[in-house]
Amino acid sequence: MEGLRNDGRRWNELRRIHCQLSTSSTNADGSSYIEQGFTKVLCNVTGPAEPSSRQKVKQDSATVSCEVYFAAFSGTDRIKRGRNDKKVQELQTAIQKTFSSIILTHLFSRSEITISVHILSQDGGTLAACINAATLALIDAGIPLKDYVCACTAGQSTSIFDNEGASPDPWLDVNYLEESDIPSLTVATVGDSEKIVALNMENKVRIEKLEAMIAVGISGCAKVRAIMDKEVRRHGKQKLEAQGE
Amino acid sequence: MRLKPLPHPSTNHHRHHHRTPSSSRITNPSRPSPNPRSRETVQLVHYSATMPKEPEISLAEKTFVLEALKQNLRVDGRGIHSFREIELSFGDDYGFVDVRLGKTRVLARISAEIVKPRSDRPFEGTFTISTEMGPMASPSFEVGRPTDLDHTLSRLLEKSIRRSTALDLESLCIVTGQRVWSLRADLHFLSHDGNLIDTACIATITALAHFRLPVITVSGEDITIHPVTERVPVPLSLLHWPICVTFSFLGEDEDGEVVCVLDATAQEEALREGDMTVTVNKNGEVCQISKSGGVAVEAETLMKCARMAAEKVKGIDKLIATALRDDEVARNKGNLDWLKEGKSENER
Amino acid sequence: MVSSSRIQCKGAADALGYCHPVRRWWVGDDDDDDDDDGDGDGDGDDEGKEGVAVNASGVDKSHACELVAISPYPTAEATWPSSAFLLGSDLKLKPKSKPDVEPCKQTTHFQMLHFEGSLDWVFLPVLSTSASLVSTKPLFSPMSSLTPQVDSGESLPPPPPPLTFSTSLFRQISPALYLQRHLLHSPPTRPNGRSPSQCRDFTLTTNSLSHAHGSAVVRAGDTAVVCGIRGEVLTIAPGDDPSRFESYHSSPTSATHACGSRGAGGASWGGLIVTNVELSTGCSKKYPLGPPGGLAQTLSDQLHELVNVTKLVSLDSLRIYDREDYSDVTPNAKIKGYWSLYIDVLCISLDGNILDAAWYAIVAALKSSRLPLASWNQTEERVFCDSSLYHPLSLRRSLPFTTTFALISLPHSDDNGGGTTVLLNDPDSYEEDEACEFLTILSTTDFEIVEGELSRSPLAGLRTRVEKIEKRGGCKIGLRQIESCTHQATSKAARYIQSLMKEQLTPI
Repeated sequence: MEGLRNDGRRWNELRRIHCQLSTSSTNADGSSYIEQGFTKVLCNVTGPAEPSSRQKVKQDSATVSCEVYFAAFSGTDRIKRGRNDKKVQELQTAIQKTFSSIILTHLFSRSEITISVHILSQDGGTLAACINAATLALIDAGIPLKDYVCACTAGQSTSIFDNEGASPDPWLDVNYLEESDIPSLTVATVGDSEKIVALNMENKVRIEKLEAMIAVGISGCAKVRAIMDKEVRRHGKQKLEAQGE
Repeated sequence: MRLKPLPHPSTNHHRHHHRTPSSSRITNPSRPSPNPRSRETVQLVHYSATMPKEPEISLAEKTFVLEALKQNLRVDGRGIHSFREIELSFGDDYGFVDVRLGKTRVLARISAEIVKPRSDRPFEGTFTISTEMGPMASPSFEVGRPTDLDHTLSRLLEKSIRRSTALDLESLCIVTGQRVWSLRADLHFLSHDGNLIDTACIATITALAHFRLPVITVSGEDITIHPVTERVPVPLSLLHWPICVTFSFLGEDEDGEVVCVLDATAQEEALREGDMTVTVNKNGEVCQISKSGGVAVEAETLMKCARMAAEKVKGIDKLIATALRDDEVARNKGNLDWLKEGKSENER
Repeated sequence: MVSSSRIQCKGAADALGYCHPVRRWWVGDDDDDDDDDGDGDGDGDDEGKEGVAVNASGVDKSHACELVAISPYPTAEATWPSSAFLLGSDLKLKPKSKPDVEPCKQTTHFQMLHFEGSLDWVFLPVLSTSASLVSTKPLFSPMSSLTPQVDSGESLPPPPPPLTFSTSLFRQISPALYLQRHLLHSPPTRPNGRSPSQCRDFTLTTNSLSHAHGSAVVRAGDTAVVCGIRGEVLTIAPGDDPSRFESYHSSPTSATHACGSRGAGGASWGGLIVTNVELSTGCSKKYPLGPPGGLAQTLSDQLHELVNVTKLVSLDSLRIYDREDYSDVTPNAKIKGYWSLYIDVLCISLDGNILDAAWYAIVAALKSSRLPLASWNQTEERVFCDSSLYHPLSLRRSLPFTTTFALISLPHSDDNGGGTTVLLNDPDSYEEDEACEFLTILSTTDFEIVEGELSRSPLAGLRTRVEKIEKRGGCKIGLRQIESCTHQATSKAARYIQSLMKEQLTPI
């Protein structure tokens, strides 16, 4: 069918996003669960608390540390990833660096904020889902942030069907099949500002196509932000009403 | 059986593995470093018992650097978007390169051995990059305790060179399923004055382009490796030369926008609020982009940086090609056959 | 005489009169504490001490109140300085002439603080778990700083009625005693509101994971567990004898399970199904990320043994035969390979009783898993899977279910020595910490679905078979208690099967 991708979406349609806050309120200060299509990610946030090791004590700001755990059944092959697995470490560093600049760490010196992410199912856009889940969990924990950090993926399709002379539109929110097929990037923006806080691309792309991909990714982030904001407000309202009784 | 490095045809057979650059025969004429302010702390090689942290940068230095940026000036007199002088010098052995970017210095060496291939990829050779930062580069590095910079560096090199298939692994195959070449790039960091990532990438690519594989003939079960005196060794099959360019975001310019500084020194790196590494090749293909955290930047600024990187890479590419060519000429003075070098592609 | 007066806490009070403070706020320095004007806001200097507010407005003003406390900790380690007051054990309000403190094994010292007056707000320091928040100074010093307002007209100060105070306070400093108090009531009850034989409601969702062959998410209270099942084909090398794979003997669990042992000599029926439990997922602060600890390895082992001993999965559904048409089963069909199942259980949130939740998730996931049809291809000499045809695993007919009980030993009130043991069905993490032992019963019940409704098999009345009882030692219980446990296990199994039916997985 013309113009539709393999799962029936058009080039600028996001997958179904479902998010929840406060999923495990007993064990963590903040928690969230997000589903983007079939990618399912859980996130727990603890802190600010005493740092687990002396090396992590910083005199003027809080340390942000991140732990990522891939469930063995999350991918197409059953792989148990240990802590020293490259992919795990990459994700950890990316999330930790992103949030170190977004959390107002100067308010909590000599403490540690721990973000632990559990990936239950991978279907493309893993880094983006982890960043979104971490944002929601931090909001749930009440840790002050500069603004929402919303992430989204975009891919450069090489399909010939879309070509009517001009180059085809980049695809928004690629799933696993598309990710293994076409070059894609993940972009994370801060709030409404369209400023990029994280950008990650690991495939080869011609530089002329790069701009279009980034633009599509940013518009996707805006849509994700609207969805996350709606859920945060709904959850907050529910909490206030429960307290008011 | 580990392959010993190929001796230079016109010299005696040496068996040195790590030769200091001062003894190498072919070097580019060295120029005095343009950086007027010398960072003595970086050059000291004495081992103080665990100095885990670099001293924090003083307020006076910070103010000076940022104020200068507001006026579009950098401390060492360069333009905001200019690289330091890149000096490449090659060793006697093929695949040995010493790169200097101002005071930052990285050594790369390529070595090869014949192994059995991976069972799920029987027609490909293997290529690994090993980076280990020690106290020689900077007192704050410790052997065996990789810092964040260590991890970032090895990940970026992995993504830029291995994942973008700069090296054609299938050309390393000797006998499918049984014997392949296994290449290994060892990087040594001799001095750290900022921008280790770009320097390491340039060193690796140059070393790969410089390296020569010995010629092999297969007859039945036997593999004969011809020494260099019999057959001229062949260069590797590099599909493209990906080069990393790192931008650091710090300070503000006169419009209040964040300044993207190219090729930061260690001082500028200590003050930066964010960074982005773009890997491009001279054909205008972006191999990877990595911006993790740090200050949030407008998309147009990032695109401008990417385009600038593509431009710079064209210049660096030419520089590497020229240096390689000069080295070849110097090696083969008097040898008229060198023009007939073979290629290392298999007939398939 | 004073009638039983109560200090009422702001917030709900449950049946036993415990008060649940709804808000906590920071209280100021010592000096700000005689907040007797009833304002009770307590937002003094925000100096960083945490307190709990107990609204004392219900107190009959004519009588002095008494505050008695027992510390579970010896003085040397106490975070209560000697001049602090400690919290009382007497939770019911009775008029007392002198403090009637029930002796508690954990009492080491106590002090009485006696104060009078009509205080609208009483601030009590709270023992906080975070190191930086422990309050080391008493919030207010003994009664001298309080303004007494004794009702005139009485010559002797009347005996002060004891106070209640917040439950969470008591629970934090003396958890065992708190639990015992609940259980000694008649009828006995538990802090979470259930009766000892009542288990938590659970919810089950299956097949939510796209990459796994079968999956289930089970939530029981605050314990949440995800189980994913993946099958991989194990081809038998031409010289191997397939019967070696099928003999059961215990093999190491996947906590120490190396992939190599599957194909090589160590394989066994036990090796075809690999169970793994992950607790270091941040589900609870007790299990930080890192290599699996003792509990995770023990659980993996237990579940592995359970799956194999109960022969939960029928061996025949795991065999891959050398035949094209599955409908005719020739006894001489050669076995060319096996399906090897990897069961991964991930704990998302832990609030006690992980074993039941994990077992139930495993059974539901196995029930819902669909493996592609695998057949042996003669020409290629390999096993091929048909990705368009799936078949469910066939499990054994009557499904076994585990029920776990926590055993709490209560001292006898008349100090005759020897106490009773109470069994709590489906303990949560608080009860698990206080338990001296656990009892696990693995039972099956023959159920029949009659017109869509579950009913017990009419043949032999109630046919419950207990397959395994595990009690590792610690407390004593009697036969009748075990019988009642098995009844509870049956009713729990019925609920499990009902929820399996709701997911449209025919249980039988």
